[in-house]
Amino acid sequence: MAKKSLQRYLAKIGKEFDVVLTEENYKEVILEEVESPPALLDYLRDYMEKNEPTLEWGCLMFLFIKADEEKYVPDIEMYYKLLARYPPNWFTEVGMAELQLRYYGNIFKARDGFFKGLELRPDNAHCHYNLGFIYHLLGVFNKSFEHYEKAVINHQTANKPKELKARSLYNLAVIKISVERDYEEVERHLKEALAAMPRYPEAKRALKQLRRWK
Amino acid sequence: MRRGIASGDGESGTLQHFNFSFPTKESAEKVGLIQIECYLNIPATELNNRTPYEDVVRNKSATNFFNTFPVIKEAPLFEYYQQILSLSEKEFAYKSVYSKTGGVLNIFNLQIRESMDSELKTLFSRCEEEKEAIRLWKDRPSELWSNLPPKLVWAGGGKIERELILDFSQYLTRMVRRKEFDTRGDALITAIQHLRVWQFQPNEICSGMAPINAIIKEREEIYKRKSAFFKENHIECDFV
Repeated sequence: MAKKSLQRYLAKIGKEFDVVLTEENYKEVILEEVESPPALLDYLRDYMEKNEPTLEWGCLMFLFIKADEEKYVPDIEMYYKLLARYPPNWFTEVGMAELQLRYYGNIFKARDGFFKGLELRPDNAHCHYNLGFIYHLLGVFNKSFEHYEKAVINHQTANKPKELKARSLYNLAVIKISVERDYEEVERHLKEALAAMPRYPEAKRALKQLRRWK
Repeated sequence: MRRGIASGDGESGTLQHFNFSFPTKESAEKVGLIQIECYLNIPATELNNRTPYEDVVRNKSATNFFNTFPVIKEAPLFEYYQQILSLSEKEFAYKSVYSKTGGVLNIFNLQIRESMDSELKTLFSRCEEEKEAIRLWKDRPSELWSNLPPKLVWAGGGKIERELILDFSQYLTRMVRRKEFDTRGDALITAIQHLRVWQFQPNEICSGMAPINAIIKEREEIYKRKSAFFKENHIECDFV
């Protein structure tokens, strides 16, 4: 049974993506497909070394990555479920958390998914950023602030570190202005956001507006 | 965004209708439930200045209330009134909070279940007595209800929040007019982001206060009134 499904996955990957996965190359192919920051590649290398996954895992992971790229929800969910028999990994957990948030709007499930992501990669900026966003939606601003701050501190672990840092700082400024009306802090956060990402129209606009108010 | 229609009972017992756009069917329906929950906390001269909630608890039945306001029986939301007013012993137990709407600040939340309440789970495992766990839990801000503590969710809103829900409905409808969304998540997130902006903007309905502060203040007053009523009538309640 397992052999049959492995053959089916291999055939699908060959036919649809023109890739031949083998016992020898699947780990390298997965790392190439992820194309992410060094920290994530190190994490996946470590995951594969510790868990010694199979070629079937390689196939399912490859198909999950492709479904995630195409944002094709039924396949993302199907391959996530099929991967459940292997130890959880950060990439699929966070992929599912994003789906829960952006596609279904299920904020509590998304929150749990990003926390699971943090268990797998402690201090990961991407998870902290999303938790900052989720807690903002939940109206729990102290926790939102905490996570955005941690995203700033750990921004180097992100896919686009400078952008994530700038966006986190901008969101910190938004909380400071809405909840505390602390204009000095708002200005500081906005300036730091612009230092990290000089072309950031929302931050520029907010800073201009703030100067008019002061 | 779904378009919906809701009705509220005016002071004189007439019905006001308004059109609005909401991201999901559930949230559109919740507007009506929140209005009713708030209405039941507003004292009425016809009930000797008792609130409908107090009247129903005192009489252990909603009959007197429905007879006093027969127009409600004809209202499109009568079913919801019956649902909310079928108060049993369960209303006085901590679990009843999971059947409350949480008001305007929680309008987009899904149904909250006890299994989602990690704070309560932790307290149950830490405290020797269940009562002690509930006593601590009811006062703690909860992320399940926009940082409102369970006791204020249980208490419900009042006159101001009832007006604020209409204000927010109109605000959201203005903000999302002609916007299209690809996914349910996209529509919900946009609506919640508007809610979080709106809740901090000074609002005339609450004399220039931010809705968030006015809502908390009103719910605290309602909680105090309910507590006093329960003590006066020797009714045991987990929230008092």
